Amino acid sequence: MMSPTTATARDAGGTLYVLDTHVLYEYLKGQYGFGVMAGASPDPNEALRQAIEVLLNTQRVVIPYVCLVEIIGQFFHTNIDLDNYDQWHRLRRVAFNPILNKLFDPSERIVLRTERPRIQSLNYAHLPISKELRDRLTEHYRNRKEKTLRPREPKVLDGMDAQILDDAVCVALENPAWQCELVSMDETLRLAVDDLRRSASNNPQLPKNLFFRRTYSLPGLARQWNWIRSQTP
Amino acid sequence: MTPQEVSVLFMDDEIHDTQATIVRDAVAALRQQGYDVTAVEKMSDAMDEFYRKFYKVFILDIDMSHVDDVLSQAGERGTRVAEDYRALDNGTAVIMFSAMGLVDDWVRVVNRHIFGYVHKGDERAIDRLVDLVATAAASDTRGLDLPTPRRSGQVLVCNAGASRFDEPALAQQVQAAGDFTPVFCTLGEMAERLTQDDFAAALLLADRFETRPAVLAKVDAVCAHQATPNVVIGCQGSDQARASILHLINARPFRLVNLLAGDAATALSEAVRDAAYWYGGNECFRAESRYVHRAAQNVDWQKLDEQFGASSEFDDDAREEEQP
Repeated sequence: MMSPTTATARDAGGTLYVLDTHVLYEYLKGQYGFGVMAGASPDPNEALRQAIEVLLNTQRVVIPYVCLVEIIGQFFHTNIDLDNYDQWHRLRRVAFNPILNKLFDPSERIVLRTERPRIQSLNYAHLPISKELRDRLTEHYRNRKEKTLRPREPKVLDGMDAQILDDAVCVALENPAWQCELVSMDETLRLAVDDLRRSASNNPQLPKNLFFRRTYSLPGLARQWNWIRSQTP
Repeated sequence: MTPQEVSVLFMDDEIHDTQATIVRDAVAALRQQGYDVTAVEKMSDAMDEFYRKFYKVFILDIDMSHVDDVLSQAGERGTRVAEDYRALDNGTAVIMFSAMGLVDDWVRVVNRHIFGYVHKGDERAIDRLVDLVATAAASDTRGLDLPTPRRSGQVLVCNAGASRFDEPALAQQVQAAGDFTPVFCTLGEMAERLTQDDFAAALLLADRFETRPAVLAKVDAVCAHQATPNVVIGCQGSDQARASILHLINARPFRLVNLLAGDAATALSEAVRDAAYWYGGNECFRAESRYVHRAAQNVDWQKLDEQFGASSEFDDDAREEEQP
């Protein structure tokens, strides 16, 4: 596939969005009303899905390859109906097609990043986390509303996150004239990006143009989301 | 895979017509081979079957006007059902079995990458159908072949007798498709050239392809190189050229362009661009939303929600808007 640089060289200087896996999932779920619960009005995630739709239809977007692998893996290799597998798999394929249709949009605004992973992604997950990040994590978990931790918590870059972060770093380095935003709902990934930004001031190998954007603060969404929250019991 | 393990869906509006011996005999021949054949006479029934059971092969007629059905009332033909099946699922081999197809039908279905086409009026039509089903049953279901879009490179071009296009005109259409350089060759050289060099797409044109076995074998050899690169074929669409066009359909080019239809020059450019864009990949089509929605109703979204954990994090971490 094309590199982000190829895809964005024509009119550099705007915002380049790098998506986390769940953004793809929410887009998929939102197609044609997938997953909208009967009687759930207003659906708090509907505004989110609309914002993702606008993002994918109007902005320059990079999808890390691992995100595609992750969503495909979750979609086709979990909760398998072994008794009726052929038909189960076929219907999954149909339901997944909107993602493929979007990925292969010939407009070239949406780029699937397929460059080989760097060893740096291992380092993100392997090296000791900084004192600042530990302090931020401690504060984050202290402020959480829930009393109990979820599985795998406290966590930072578990699963595919280290690779997604490194893809975002590479996209930012390859596109210095662009503001690169990693779009995610993962709060600990935000803390990791913040930590990386602090290090970037002293490390020329790290980008200064990489930012974190919470999915619910996508352009045009925050106001709508706040209104929906106020309407939801 | 034994024939008993291969499910075949057979759609024909004359399935219960005792006068339509070709249909009855075709179904009988397939069952005699051991295939698990389900026969339906309505287009809407064929669409319902899609959600009921997985069929490895779907055989269908084009003219479905003899049976009253919501889709035939809406003016739809079997061509439309074939397109919908191809858009919904890459796993079922779609084979047209019809005596009534028109040029427009042929072009539409081949450009949706059907597996094959058998004309009911052809000599040995049933034998051809049985052979085609056996080939489809033995073929692997293609996986998710991601394309490597090509926006530049060489396009191999062979003008085997397209009277409306000389070399400069073809070069212009190839260059209109992108940053492509046309490389011209003869039909005899074409397959060999595809093995020797890297091409983003291949373009083969003739007003009417001869039906001599030697000529058709060369066309088959060119198409066999797909999907690296994909092959675009242009010819004049006419009923008189049915035999050669049906052979082209069964060679399964990436695109078949009717050189007599509308703006053929632009259609050629678009076909070359699409062929290069889908280099190495199997083309995905946008399915009708009502059919996709019906499939999605079977997906357990709540379980997926738990795996992605999106909704709960969304609630927990909701804060004031932050701009980076």
